[in-house]
Amino acid sequence: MVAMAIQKIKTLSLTAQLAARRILVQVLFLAIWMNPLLRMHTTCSPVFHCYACPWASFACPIGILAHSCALHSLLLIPIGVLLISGVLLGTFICGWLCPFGLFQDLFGRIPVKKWHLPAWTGAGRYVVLVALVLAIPYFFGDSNPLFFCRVCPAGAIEAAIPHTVQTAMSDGPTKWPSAFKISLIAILPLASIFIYRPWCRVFCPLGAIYSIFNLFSLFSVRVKPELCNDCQLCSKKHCRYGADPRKRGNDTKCIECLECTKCEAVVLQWTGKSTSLPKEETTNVSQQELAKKTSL
Amino acid sequence: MLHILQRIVCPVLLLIAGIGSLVYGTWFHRETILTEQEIEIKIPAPPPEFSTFGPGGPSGFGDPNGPGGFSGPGGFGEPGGGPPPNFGPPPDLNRAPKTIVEIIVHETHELEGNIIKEITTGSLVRTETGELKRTYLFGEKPDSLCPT
Repeated sequence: MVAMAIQKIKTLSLTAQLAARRILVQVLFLAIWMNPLLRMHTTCSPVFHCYACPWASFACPIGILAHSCALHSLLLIPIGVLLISGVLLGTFICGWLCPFGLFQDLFGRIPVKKWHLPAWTGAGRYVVLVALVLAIPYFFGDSNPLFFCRVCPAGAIEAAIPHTVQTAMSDGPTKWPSAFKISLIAILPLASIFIYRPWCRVFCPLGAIYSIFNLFSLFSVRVKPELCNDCQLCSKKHCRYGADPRKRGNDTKCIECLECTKCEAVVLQWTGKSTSLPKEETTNVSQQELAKKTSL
Repeated sequence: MLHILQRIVCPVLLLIAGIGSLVYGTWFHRETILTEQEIEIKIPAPPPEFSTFGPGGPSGFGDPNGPGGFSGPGGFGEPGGGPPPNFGPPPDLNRAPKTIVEIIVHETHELEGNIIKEITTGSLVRTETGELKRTYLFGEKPDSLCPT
């Protein structure tokens, strides 16, 4: 069975082969984000990872943004990191680098029937970004219960659990996280079993920022119209996150996991070289090609 | 034209803005941070003023070299013979050394990297006047955890 899987992978394109090994790449990047020997809290990473995690190498960009709003201080390092990584990689960071995405992907591998979220749920990310990361910290400070870091699941899972264990093992009193964070620790893994990446698709403010950059990212997923036969496998079967590569290469819901590149018509390329046509033209071209093939 | 603007010009401009922000924030941008330092000033106890016989020395006996030895017909309690002996309450016991704590505010101009590091430990707050202030005192170490 493993040999068959390996053989199947070898017949795919390079990007599709890479996509099949995505989880390995995510695990390898953990060595950068969670490295006790690499302690650089003076700068931000481009991923969603709590800096209170005992092994966190970098600061969380969302946490720094939220705190800078609370302090009414414009910090340029997180803005620079987000601009550079957003333009160069876009949501590729979500699909391949983010440790919190890996956490959800691992639970998503449990083979149960998955629920599909409606498209409008993706708007929740922008609400979280504007309200909990920018507005509430700016107007009410970091002591407000809706300050983002106080409701962040990454903080609950990556920081609160290790520190609770640490205090429990020490001589002093055990410090428990808040009731809300305890409920997040229980709910999010359960949700990840039934929905692919629920946090990323509905609430993640960093995903909201990178999804905007998808419109400007230098690399994007594109459909080759001469090869597309409009079977919709890319959007309905390969893509787990509700994106449609045929409509727009880098959809705001797309995390560039490259699963859709299992179809030879879908490719990852430099965005300056556009191969995607509007859906109607794509359909017309593919029908013409089919007509040519059948006449031959 | 719109295609070129969206696909090439915008990403390049955003990339330049990002690099500029990162460089400026890392090496040039500074913010003023206030740090309080507590200094203890000890005030020694004042010398005791208690005297059993008052400032005039023993009273009621007059001038031993004077004419009468004893001061006048009144003897003890004579108005002209000085204050009466003070057998009142003991001296004031509250005259112990005092310690006053004075707060000195240090002002430093820190780079953004240091500010970010302070934020990760929850060590910065905004004062009512809009300035940034450390939550720990000068010479102390910050908390190792973000309080959120």
